[in-house]
Amino acid sequence: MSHVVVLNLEIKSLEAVKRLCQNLGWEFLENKQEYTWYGRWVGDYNASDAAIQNGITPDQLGKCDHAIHVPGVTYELGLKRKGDQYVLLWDFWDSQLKEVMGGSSGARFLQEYGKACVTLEAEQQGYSWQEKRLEDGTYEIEVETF
Amino acid sequence: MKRKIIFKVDKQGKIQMEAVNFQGESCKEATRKFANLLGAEAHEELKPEFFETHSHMENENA
Repeated sequence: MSHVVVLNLEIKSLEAVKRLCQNLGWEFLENKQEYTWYGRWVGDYNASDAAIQNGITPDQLGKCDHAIHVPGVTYELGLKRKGDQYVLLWDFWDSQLKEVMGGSSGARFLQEYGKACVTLEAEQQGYSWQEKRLEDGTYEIEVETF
Repeated sequence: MKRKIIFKVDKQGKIQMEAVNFQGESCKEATRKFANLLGAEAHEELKPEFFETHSHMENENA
């Protein structure tokens, strides 16, 4: 079974993805051109978030520009360049990967990427920041500007 | 009063951005780079100070 999906996110900052990996203890594999997935397209997943419905052809599945490995998880995440941005591809058939991603929508990745973008940009602007986790799991990041 | 931007990133990855103690367009300037990076996912919330300054400016123009 293969369920490769495209995350609903325009990834504009590879540096933020690297920070996300650092924060979560994931490995960013720069220039790794393949990500581990089921390995062959069997045509069993065609939902709107399916890679195959989002401009990825079956022969392109498993191929990427950079990959991310989550320790203890078999399948990997792939980052594929699309213009001046990246899209994230992954096969949620691996239940462990699905769990660390926060479900098939990749909610955890979205949240961690948002946090990484904010903190990275704050530092690049020379601003200080503080983070706290609210009861509902929301990150609150307070950025002090000039 | 310290100027700050408070971001809330929820468990679905939705981002809210709140600029505090800015006046007028200065808050837009401060949040622009963050908004560009975060894309359409970021929702901006303008504090009363923004509108106070704008109504003042509108009065001047009248």
